[in-house]
Amino acid sequence: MLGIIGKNIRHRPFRNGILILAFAFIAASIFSGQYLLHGASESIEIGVSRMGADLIVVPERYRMEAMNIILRGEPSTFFFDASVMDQVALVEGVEKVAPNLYIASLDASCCDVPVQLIAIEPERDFTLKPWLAQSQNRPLEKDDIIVGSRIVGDIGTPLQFYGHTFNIAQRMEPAGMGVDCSIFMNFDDAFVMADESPEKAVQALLLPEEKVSAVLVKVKDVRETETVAARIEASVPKVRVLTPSNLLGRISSQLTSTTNFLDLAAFFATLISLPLIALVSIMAANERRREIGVLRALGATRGIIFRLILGESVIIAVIGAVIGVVFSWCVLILFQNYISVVVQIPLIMPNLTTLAWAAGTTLALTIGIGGIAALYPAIHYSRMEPYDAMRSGDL
Amino acid sequence: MIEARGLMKIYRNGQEEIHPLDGIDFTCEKGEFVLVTGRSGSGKTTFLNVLGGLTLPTAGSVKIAGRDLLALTDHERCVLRSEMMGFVFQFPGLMAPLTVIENVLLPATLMGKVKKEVEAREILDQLGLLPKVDAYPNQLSGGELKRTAIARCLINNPSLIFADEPTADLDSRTEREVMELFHGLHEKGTTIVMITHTPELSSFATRVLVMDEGKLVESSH
Repeated sequence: MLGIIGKNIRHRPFRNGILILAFAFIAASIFSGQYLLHGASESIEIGVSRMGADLIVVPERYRMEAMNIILRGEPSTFFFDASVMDQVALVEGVEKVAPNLYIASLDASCCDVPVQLIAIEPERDFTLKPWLAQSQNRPLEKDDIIVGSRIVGDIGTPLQFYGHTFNIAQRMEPAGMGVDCSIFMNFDDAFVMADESPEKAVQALLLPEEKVSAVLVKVKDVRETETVAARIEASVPKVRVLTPSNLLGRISSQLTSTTNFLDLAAFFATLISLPLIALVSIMAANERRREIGVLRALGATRGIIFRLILGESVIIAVIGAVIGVVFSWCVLILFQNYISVVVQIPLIMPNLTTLAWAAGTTLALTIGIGGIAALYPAIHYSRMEPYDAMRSGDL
Repeated sequence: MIEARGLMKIYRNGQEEIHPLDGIDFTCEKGEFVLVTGRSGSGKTTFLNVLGGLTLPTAGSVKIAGRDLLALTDHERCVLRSEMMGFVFQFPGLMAPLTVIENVLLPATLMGKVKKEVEAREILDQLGLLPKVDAYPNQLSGGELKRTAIARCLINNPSLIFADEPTADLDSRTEREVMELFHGLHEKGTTIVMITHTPELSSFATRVLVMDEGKLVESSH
């Protein structure tokens, strides 16, 4: 039976090729939606769990820029007074604090676009450790930098920023968030780089003394994170506090609109394709009425005819679904970073179990669509009397 | 072998009623070779298809080997056709994507039976089609198509064959070959009911019936 179905499909390559493409389009829409949804969700999950800091205090006017640095690594430079760190440390519920200095790089050999340089105080910082690959976890030395997963260069590779040469000392694991495009360095090295920049760089870097860009906060009791955030905003003037829920909320709204768009695309692809596929199936069965009649005369039961018509549509749907899933998977992997920038959501490849589930769901849905499209002709023509089918309308 | 009583078949074409079969009684003993002739539109093809259970009569009954076709389910009729009957139609009715041998094996394939490739090759050899076993229908001549359809009809070794103008569109030599093949089958005991427009073929038959306007009007031995 499968052999006959296969030969029937191959016998009409143009029509069945178009049908396969239609199914591939539907499958690609469904699979892409699932990939983005799961990829972004996993990225956020990993990102937030690895944020290290429970809260991030930033200048009031730069809340959005700070979010964009954390979520997408969009470079930005801003400061507030370093005394804010002492004020925050005194707030009830705060366990420890650490400063960050955000510096947008100029063009660098590692990267196509400017990256975010982040100066840290290694002895006070408590945020980076979870991001580092285990084997690379060693103290930062002078001019050492820690690079995000999307920064090009092996360990030991020299990279220049503002004319100052750094060495890649450690590399972080991918997170799908802004940290993947960020480079971490010592505060002291950042100030040396700034001091040298008027002579060595095409553009001087001005780093004011006693300024920081953000204060990372670890709270004593994580259940009180939101309360502590409110206390900081109430007691320290002109600052905003970023919490994991802030970040999640911002991503969720972008993710929702993106997945809504993809769901809508899949829905309309199905809505348009389903009647077309059904129509083609009816036409295909109709032009084979005589053949169906002959098969019935040769002893084929109604069930066999039903399975032949339905089976052909389902196999075409399976081929289309596999092509759609593989094609969209390749495109998503190849253009993951670009897609992440365009749709403005953090994105990593979902784990294999999730991917297998998404591919399976896509396959099942596409097969379902193929089955529904062929259901009417399968029922109609399998119920015809052999002689009626063979007469093809003649008396 | 075949017993038909009061066969009626009525088609409606708008207001008009068409009676391709108008009260036919027919009996065919096992091993008979019956030729049915008559003008075009006299109801011969409908008659043959009703006898084969390919369409049900509006009224009347058909018994094949004692089994009432109308009392059987569609599935039972399919099994009966597959096990007992062979059909050769006016048109070859071969599946274009299948090769000659695949077409011949189709009745067995459909029923999930063990493939009778050796038997198929023997039949094709008898019909002079062995060099064409791997050819596709669009690579065959009209005569080759007809002979392939006959080979397909024979693969399940039917005891009853319904043939609707199997020699139509064939040259006289191929026509003779095809009729000799049917004659051979008849001699081995196969019951044959055949429709033809060629009166000269009556020499092969044990009985000749003439149909006119849905009735059997003449019978000769």
